[in-house]
Amino acid sequence: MTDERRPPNDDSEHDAWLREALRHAPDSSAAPPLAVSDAILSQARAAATASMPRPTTSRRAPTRATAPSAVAAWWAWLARPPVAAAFASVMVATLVGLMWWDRPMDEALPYAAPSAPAPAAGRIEATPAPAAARSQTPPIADAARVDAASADSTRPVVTPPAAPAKLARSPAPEPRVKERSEARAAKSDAPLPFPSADKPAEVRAEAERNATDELKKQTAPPATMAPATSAMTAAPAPAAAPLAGRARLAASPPPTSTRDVQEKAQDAAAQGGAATGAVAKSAVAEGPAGNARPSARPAAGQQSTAPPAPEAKDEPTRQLAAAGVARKAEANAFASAQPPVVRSENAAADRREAAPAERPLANLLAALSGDGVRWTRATPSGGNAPVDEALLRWLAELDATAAGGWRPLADRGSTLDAALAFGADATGVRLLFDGRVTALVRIDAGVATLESRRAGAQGSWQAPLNAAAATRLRASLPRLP
Amino acid sequence: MATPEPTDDALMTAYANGDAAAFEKLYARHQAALYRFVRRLLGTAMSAQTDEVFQDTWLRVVHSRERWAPQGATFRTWLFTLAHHRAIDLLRRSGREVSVDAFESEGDEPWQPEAAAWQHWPAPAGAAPQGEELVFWRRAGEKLLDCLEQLPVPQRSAFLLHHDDGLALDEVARALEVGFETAKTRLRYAMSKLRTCMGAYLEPIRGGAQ
Repeated sequence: MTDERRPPNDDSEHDAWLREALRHAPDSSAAPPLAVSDAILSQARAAATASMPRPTTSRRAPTRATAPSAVAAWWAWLARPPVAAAFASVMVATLVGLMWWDRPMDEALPYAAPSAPAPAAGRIEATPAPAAARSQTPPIADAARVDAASADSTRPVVTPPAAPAKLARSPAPEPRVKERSEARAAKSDAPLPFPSADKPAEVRAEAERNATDELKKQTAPPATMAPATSAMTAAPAPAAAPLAGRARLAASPPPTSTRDVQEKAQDAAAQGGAATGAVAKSAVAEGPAGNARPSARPAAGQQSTAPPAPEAKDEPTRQLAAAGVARKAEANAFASAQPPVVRSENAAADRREAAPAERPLANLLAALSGDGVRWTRATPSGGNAPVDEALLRWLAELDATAAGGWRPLADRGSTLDAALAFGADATGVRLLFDGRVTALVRIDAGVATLESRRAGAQGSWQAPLNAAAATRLRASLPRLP
Repeated sequence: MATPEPTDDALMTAYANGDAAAFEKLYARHQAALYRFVRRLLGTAMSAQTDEVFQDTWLRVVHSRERWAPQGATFRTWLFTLAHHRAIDLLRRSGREVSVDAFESEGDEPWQPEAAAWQHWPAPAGAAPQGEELVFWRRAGEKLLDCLEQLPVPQRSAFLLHHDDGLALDEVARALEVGFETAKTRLRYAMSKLRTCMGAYLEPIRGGAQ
């Protein structure tokens, strides 16, 4: 007897206890699924049939015998799990592809500016005739384009980035402008005098006829309907204020040098008031360009004494007016929808007041993006925090929600500092530039308020908000500890 | 006088000559054991691929019918060899370690648990156990499957081929495509670990075997 008990028949390589335990394991009665067994057997039968010698007496019988076996063999192969899974994946991918066929990929398109060309055109149509449609963002480059179109059509076309759809329209007037410029050049090489401010009606009538022609030529592409409409209704506007247009052309180039301003003024004087359409766009609402606005007023005052245009230059004036109308149409579609301002002798000053009111928050956003490190945000604890992407997105969302509804408020005078305190039921953000409180964005019940003391963009504006939007914006404002 | 059942080799030869019924008999004989072997070899983590490996193994048999010839190994050994290859391929593709060289160098002899580990186990009876013994063996079977999961794949396959499928050691070595001594060593290591695992867990039942 040994101390080590060994089960009977248990050599070193065989353990009866373990074998017995295996016999009673839960999976001891496991068997393959019926589908698997059927697939295996069908394939085996098909293979066996295929390997059988074919009788030579009849050629038809083997065909009948092998066809179902081949089908069975193919079906058995398809029934294999990996083959079936791959086939199912291909079917699902095909179905999804068919479902998405020809679907518009709106989500793939870049974010478009909230400005609506059709509503803008509607509002413009409702205004009296001698009203001018204002636009903001396209800078002096558009005015330069007018010059270039008349003199050299090979210059590149400058288009606003936020209106990609307008790219299709912008080249359209170029050939016509080029033709007219060539015809005009053939007639006379003498510089065109500045149109008289005393003859607004005549120029206005000419611009109306030109606008009608433009409208007819632009009806083919659907995308040009809105700008063409606005161009038609805004046609009187450029001709109605040539002086202001000259002022804008002279005053609002990129603030790089006074020499550029003088050259632009000279070019505008040579080509007449038809440039007012493009000039109107050069009322730059951006932050840096806004600094040029104060200079528009003295320039406007200077230009108001320009000599009248001679009668013999109506034809080139009409041509340039048509070109300007086309440019204006593009700018109107690009800019936020704003009602045109009644032109007056102080139209330049009026535009300066009105242009920042149209997109004050957009200008502020541009300044925040341009001078990001110099801008900070006041925290509830009294400190300063950098302006982050979340706040920029919130401000952009507020601007989009306001949808161009900003209106300037009455001058608050010296109470601007006092106004930069939040009310008990208000939500807002206070922005500092170089450590100084410079702007305030506040959302009260149903209205958004922007107060700014930025150089060149001082003032207060308000935009109406519906209750749901105001609540959403107040809730989504990025908070700071 | 009853006709003796044809051997596996004879059935396979008949099938190679186009007798589909011979294959059906072969399939009926070995399908359950092969399915258990594949299922236990893959383990719980990859049990979903059991059907795939099982079907692929039989399809290899079908496609190899004309080249097959009894060359010392029985049909059953050849069948389990095909299944073992397919399962190992799947385990390697899934990233599971199947090398066992380190385990085989653990010393001269595998550690043997004390004999008292089996002292209270009931004898493995040939007849169907009843009552408490049936409960005991079912618990033992459950625990054994858990212990098998912990074994390295080569030791697991050696143990299953030998204890569940009844292959002799030389056939185990042929199926695993290793030497005889290697197969024997793997088997002993497997048994040692399983005994340790089983003996340490199960409570002895009273009135056990002598």
